[in-house]
Amino acid sequence: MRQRQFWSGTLIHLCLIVASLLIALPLVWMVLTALKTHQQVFTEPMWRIPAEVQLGANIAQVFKLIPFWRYFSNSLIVATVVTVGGLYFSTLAGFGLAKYRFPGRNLIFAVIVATMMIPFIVIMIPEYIIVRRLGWIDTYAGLTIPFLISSFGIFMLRQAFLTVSDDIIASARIDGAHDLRVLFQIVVPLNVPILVSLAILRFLMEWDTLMWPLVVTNSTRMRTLSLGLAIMQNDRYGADFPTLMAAALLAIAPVVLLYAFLQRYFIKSVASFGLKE
Amino acid sequence: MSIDDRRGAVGPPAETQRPLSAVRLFGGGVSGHEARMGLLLVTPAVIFFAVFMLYPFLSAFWYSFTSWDLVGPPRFVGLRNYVRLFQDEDFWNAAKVTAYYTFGLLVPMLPLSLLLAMLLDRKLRGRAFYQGVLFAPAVLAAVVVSMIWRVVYMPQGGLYLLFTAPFGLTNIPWLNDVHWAMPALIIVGIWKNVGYYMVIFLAGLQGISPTFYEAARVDGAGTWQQFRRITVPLLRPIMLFVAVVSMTKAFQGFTAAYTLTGGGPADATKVLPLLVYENAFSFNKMGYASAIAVIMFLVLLMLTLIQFRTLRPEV
Repeated sequence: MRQRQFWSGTLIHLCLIVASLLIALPLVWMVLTALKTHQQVFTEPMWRIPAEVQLGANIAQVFKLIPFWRYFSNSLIVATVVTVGGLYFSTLAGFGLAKYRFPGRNLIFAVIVATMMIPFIVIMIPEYIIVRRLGWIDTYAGLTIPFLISSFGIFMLRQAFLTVSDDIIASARIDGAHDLRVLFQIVVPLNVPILVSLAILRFLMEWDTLMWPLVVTNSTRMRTLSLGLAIMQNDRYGADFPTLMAAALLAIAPVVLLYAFLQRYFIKSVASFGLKE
Repeated sequence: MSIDDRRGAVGPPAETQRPLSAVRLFGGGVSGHEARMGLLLVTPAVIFFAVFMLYPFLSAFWYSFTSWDLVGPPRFVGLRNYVRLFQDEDFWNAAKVTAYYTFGLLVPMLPLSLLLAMLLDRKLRGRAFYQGVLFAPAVLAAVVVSMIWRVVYMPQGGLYLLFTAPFGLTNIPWLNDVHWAMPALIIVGIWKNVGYYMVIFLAGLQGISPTFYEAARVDGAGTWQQFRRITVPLLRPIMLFVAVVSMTKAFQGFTAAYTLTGGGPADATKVLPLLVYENAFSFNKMGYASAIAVIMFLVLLMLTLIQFRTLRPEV
């Protein structure tokens, strides 16, 4: 019996090691390629680290080809505005829907839940036309405002706020706290984990998004990092593999660093999002 | 005047049928305040949803009945876009390609995610490490993932040779061949997402009480029977969730095709979102592109309903 357990344990580790290697290999490959010259990619043996590491030169080449920091800060601005602004308005709406009674509340909630079923591709064209009419093409407003509030965020926060006991809120009110103070000093602090989860998910989603920036920007200086890198690889630089990998390395460095320290929260946010239905 | 100051100003009528909690929350009979405050809180969201969700959603249907190149007003053409659509070879090709991508991605990936989750659903040394590595690609931007895989797929000197060279397969034109391009995109999709769905499955598995398994073992149930009789039925809500989310995402998958193959070669990877994008923003055919998008919405809605029917938890 014990021997069987040992073998099944070994087998499980073996499977997981193979799976982890398959996931990690392309990332290792990216780093290795970023260390080589274009020539060496084809001439050097696959796994040899070149005697003269070319990473510095490749990174310098990235900065020469694209305004990397401009793209990077655009992405940071867009993702931060959408995450923070979105969370703020979703918190207000979630609180209103959870703890107040007013005419039309159920209808509003039902409509918000129903809009979760609308795929982005369907509203993309009308959204573009609205943004064009508002004169927001190629602006931060155009990149952020249409995506400020997510129905998913409102739904999750409303569910979370429902579980805050009415007694706590009532006693705060008796102590003279008004509505927004009750929300931000009592209800919000009680729900920090869900807010952090939503923030992480939202930020990653906005950092990732390609289609909308592609549609709504046309100048180089308004490109987000995703869009800038997409255009770079479809340009004539697409075959300059070491430069491409240096750019990839620069782009993922901050995310990977964050992930290394906050891995638990990243994973928890995805896990909880699955569980709450 | 602060919101709070207005509270006492309303003289509410006697409130007999109001639920106790509301009365306690807002002091007896301040329904005016409660209603106004509630409305005030949801107003930004309501305006937002009206302008940036409902109005665009309804306009999409309207535009799909028009011919519009963004110059001048849209011209109503009835069902012409839809009639043309169903005779359009490009549309049928894109529909097939999208189906290929969606099912080609989900059919191998979801069982793999579940398997990995089951392997991790126990006390295990290095568990956090495995989970951390397997989930890592999910936090990378899809565009960067495409860049990385471009280098994996280099026909000469690409990482893929590590796996194919032993079988004598070299110089595979992954991204430039009609037959290889879609499998190439699917492999990228599996690599990026397998850990993501694994994490969701794992959360579901950990919600299943171990006592069920203990009881089953006492009754002599083997591994397979435990899986069939305990894991599958109790995991159903999570399976439904994962199925709906992953299908919605794969069906709208755009980034990999746009960055790695541009829809080619010979439209072998031209998925529907790419077709919508092209018609709208390269050819300025807003009406026709909207019609494709509307069809996509209807198909997705149908698929979701089917998933709800088949995977609905049995009561």
